[in-house]
Amino acid sequence: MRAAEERRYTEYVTERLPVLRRTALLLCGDPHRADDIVQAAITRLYLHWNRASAARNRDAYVRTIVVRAFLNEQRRGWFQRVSLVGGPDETPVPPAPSGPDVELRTVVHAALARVPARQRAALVLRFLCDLSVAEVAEHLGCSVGNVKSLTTHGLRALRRQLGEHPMTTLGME
Amino acid sequence: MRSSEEEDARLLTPLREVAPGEDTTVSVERAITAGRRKQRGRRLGGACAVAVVVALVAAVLPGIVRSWNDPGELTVTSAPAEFDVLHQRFTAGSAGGFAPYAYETGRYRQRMDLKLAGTADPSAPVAAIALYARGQVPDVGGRQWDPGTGTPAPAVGDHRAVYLGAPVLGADRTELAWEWADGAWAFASVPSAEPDAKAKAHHVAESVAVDTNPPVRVPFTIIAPENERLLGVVTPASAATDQTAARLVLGTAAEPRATMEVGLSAPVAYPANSVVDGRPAIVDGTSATILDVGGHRSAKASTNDSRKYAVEQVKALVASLRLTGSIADSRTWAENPLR
Repeated sequence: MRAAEERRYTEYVTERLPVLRRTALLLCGDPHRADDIVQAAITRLYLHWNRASAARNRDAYVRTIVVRAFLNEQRRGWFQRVSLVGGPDETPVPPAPSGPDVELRTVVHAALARVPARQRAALVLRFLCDLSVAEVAEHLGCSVGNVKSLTTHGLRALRRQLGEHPMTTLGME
Repeated sequence: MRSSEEEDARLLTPLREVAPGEDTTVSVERAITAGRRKQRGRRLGGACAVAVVVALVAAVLPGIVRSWNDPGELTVTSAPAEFDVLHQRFTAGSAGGFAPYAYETGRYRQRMDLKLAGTADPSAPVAAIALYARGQVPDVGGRQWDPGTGTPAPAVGDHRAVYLGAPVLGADRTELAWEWADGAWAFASVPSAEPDAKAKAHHVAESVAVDTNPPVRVPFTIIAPENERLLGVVTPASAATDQTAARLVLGTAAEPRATMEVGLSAPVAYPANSVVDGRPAIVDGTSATILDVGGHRSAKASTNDSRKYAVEQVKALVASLRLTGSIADSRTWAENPLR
């Protein structure tokens, strides 16, 4: 990559890093894994920078890389995900600040983390990144109908995780 | 969106406030360095491919032709039709730039995964070695893999070998199979993106030793549920930093794809939502994690088939886990994890 392009890449990634990290964190639920996903994604972005630059919507293109890096990571069997090497899991997690909002977030995020990966990705993109069904389909590389099905099943799984009356349980009613 | 879905979607509202902390390990510089290295690798790979092909044809083809035409020169030993799940059937060293980091035993197949040597990067390419018992081969598109579909490769040791036309251990892989014993095949797999992938697959295959048969050791024991048998043991290898992250895989012969797993892992950050065996735990439909089983470790059991295994069975399995001796001293670990 030429120096000028490399500079543009650096500027772009530096500016978008908070958004990319947030998306990855929402998808995987773990800040260390989220950083790994983003690291893999921006490395891939470097390799495909020309294509990203020429894309109609560069932000969407890069978000797709992040989503697919997350799904690829999930697709590796549990055997590969066992985190035997350089375990970010071994790094102590700083204690979360207390307070009802934080606890609520923690409970919902823990529940979301147990929803199957593609369903989770559909929920995050649709309801937390505010993308349309068609845009989610593009990110996940599937049909619109498939996204609708993933969303329905994902919401059902989330509700199951949160108990019979989740709104009441979470104090949202 | 249906109204019930709208209501369900509201459940996610608290996550709109989620923001990553300021501390991060993400580095743009590291991405650029890795990207440059990969680009160089691709360029070099292209240039080297021609040279490698020429060199292989000149140096190795006569040997290949001889070995294929003269089966009497092949080294063959008798292979077992079944492996012992409590012993590793092979060992391998660092080779082709890869180092062993995990081993999975199994009755019909044993497998080792390898990471790029000298890196702790979880996204680094993974190579793999799989050794099959006599008469066992992987499925390719619903059919049994056929050595005749490969193209001749340099022998591994004195064993005939082929490069696979289509990979069997993962997508985007360059793979080599060799007949490690009479009627039994092994596979070495490296990412195709690696420069000189074929040569590296060959190096990885050459590093395999089948003469040793060391027992597996894990830092815990369990009580296997009635009618369940141990299908495999996953243990960390030399390149792994957490040597305690072992797992057992249990199942039945009738439904080998439906399994339960149990093992140790690093502490879990999420709060408990249940109690298992009198200890704080996280339980969902398919898994149960006891947050602290001693030695700064959590224990987790899970299933990939909740229709076959009810969560109560999963909870009973993780509740039965007991550490053996000192977690820091592998000499005190169990060679047989079943009590």
